[in-house]
Amino acid sequence: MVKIGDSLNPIRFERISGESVVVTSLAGEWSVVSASEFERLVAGTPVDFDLRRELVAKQILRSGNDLFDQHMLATKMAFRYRNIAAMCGLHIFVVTLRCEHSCHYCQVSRRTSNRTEFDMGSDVAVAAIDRVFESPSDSLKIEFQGGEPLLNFDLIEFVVRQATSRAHSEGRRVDFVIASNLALLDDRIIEFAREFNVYFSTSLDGPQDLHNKARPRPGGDSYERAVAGIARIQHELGRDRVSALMTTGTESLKQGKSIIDLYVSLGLREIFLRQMSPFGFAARRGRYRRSGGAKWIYFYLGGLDYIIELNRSGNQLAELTAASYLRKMLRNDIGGYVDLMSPTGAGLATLVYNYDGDVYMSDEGRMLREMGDKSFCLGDVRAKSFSQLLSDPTLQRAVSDSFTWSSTSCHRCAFEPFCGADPVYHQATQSRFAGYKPISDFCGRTKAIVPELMRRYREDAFCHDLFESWADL
Amino acid sequence: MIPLVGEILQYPDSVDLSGLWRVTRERGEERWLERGSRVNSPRLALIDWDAQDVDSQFVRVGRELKHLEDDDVIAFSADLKRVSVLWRNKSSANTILLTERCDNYCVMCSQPPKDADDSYLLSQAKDLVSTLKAVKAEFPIIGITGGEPTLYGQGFVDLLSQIARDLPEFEVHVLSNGRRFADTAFCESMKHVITDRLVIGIPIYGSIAEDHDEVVGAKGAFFETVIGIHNLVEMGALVEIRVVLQRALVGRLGGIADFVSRNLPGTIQVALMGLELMGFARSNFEKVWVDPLDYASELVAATRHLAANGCNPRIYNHQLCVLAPEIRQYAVSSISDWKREFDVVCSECAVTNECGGFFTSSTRGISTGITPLSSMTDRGSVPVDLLSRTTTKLSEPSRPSRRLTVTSMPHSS
Repeated sequence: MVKIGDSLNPIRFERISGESVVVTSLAGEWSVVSASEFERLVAGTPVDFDLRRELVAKQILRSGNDLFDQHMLATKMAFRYRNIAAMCGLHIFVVTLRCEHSCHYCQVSRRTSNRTEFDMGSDVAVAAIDRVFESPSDSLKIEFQGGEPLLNFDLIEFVVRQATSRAHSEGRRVDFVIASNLALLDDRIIEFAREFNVYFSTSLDGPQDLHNKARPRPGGDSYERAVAGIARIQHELGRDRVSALMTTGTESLKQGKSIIDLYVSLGLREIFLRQMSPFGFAARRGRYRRSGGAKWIYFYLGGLDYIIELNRSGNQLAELTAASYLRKMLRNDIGGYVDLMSPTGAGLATLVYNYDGDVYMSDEGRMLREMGDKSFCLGDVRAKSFSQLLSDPTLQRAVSDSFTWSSTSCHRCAFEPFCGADPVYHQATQSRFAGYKPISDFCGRTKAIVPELMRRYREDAFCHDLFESWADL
Repeated sequence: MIPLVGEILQYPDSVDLSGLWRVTRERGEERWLERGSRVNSPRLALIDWDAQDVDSQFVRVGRELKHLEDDDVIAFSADLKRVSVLWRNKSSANTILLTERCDNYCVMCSQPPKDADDSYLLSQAKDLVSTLKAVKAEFPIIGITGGEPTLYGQGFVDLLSQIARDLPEFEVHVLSNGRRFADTAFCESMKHVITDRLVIGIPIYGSIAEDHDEVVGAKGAFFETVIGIHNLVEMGALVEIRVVLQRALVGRLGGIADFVSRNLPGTIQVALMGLELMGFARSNFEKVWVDPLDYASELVAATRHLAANGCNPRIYNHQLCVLAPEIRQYAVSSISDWKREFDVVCSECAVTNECGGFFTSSTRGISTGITPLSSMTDRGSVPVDLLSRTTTKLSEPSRPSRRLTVTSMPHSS
């Protein structure tokens, strides 16, 4: 009869190849053991002394002092979740839904650019600033989203000035980011960004043809404008002041290398190989499915290896999907990426103030709203305080329902500590917060990527050091 | 080598020499001894072995104490044969030995434990603190070591309180095995002495109990030490982890670095220390000594891992020529001035100013890799295959920062 070894603490495990099994402790530490060693562990028979030392040190095997093991696991668990109560630092202002682009995969359901009823008014902005400063976080960040936020630049100016003086008088720190396609970047915006230390985050899907097809605008020059904008910010404000991210469409799948080469040639030091999200127009036209699942994983892993080789030959380029996982794999930390947190970062780590005053638990939450699903709406920013928003039953239900420790199949997954809850994704794809994980692309992505990261980290000394540096981005 | 103990050649019979005496120098000429903390006490001339007798009452000391200077503090032994130097005002490495008793029995202990009652050392330490109130300290830093200082319990806490009250500008560095701090009631009693000027250095010799307990010769020590560190960190104390590198440890240094980075969060730095060949380290030489060249790659990997995890590694008691260039930035020239020396070949080295040199006690245990370096990037004797394997830069040594930043996309902040 097979018995679970007397010497084991509670563990989770997963076969990651024919010959190896990853074993994860309750506190998120992991070891990779051979299948035969794993058999011995489970049977309770002695294992190699060095392996035993490693597993005892991680509280996977019992040390002989159960109180000590409990103390260690509890302490590390407490440390892992240490900042959760004071986390909500990211505040997204949707200053307009208008956009001069007409991207097929638009995830936010943009409106045409001459209809000002889709702009945020100053009454909403004033109330939202109050909510920002009611939050307990010591690193506040305000991110301007759209539509194309530069179409309502007057309001951005207003918010930045107000928040800056408020932060100054309260002795706090606030950072600003504008998520823009940069097509409308001009002298006034640059000078303002210089004065108030504003950062830019932009979209760059790949080479000219690919980018311009995916992101049509009048004149068909989205790529030219984005590239010129990036260069201008790098040159006039500094290289670290602009970052770019790409969205994988069906056309991108075969062009991984040229997309990555473009980022290197533009002097960008980070790239975010990102699967399209099932929101807005992306969901409506089935585009999400055509570039997702196994196709995207294949695209991603090829891209990751290419980026590693670029680093090996002296280029400095970090990949941010990997970085988000690695932070959670290599550090005792739940990470800083909202989508990859459990309990979910939506609501707990970020709030979104929509142009019309509605508050959402995440950017994707308001994208769902534009599709008619108000699951993540917490009410009007002018009517509720920060603590009322955070204690809203909607938020609490989304947080507790999706929490992976108590979510079926996540609770026994060896990769749970490295993954996230993402109730918004699962609401969008399955109309439930937790989601049925065997059919979830979100789950599939973690299960495919994490073992690949583990393998490279363990087998390749260069990757080991490179990944250590990515974990701290 | 500056001797901290010397001979008494002549002393006045009529004067009670007990207690502490402070050296003063008048008009840059004669040295005098004054009672540590008492006002209007008799004073004695302090004269060298070869000086002529003087008119006033005097103490004549051996040539090894020629270095005694203004504001140094000394004590006479009970049999009036020896002088101990308790404070050298020009030194930044003054240390109080609080007891020779210890509840660990480390295989490489440089100060082997004795079981006799030596609580006079605690009284003497308290006297020294009172005496130092009258001294303008050049380096307001004091170490407290043992044995195990916390064996005094409340007496140890009282000493720290007295330092905090009488010498508020002093930095205090305590060396302890940490076991006593597992007692939460004891920790609680320390609460009022925890400041950002108090650092407690505690050794870790393994990632599991068997390994650590074997090195420290005490079963159950590991559990107490680790929980003690957690208790201190939780109270806001500054804790430094110390790992003395020795034969049994170097093969599992990676595991120790991994354990420390995961399990001891909030500690301020990790000191990776070369052996000081004194006491048991000398008598157990074959068992504990290992040439730093033989663990050069393990040391690089552990240092990298600790640095990458924000654990602020520091390398002590290693000569720069036996460290891979990429980790020399973590080396601290730490050997106390009174026991630091250099080898003959070092006269040709360009970086001795940055180097810690050798313990004076080193007669054996000199690495075969000692060689003059032309610069900080000269690899010396360190094998080529250890040299930097990636272009990734190690972070600069710094206080650990564990700030959590939240982003909607994972770009750096």
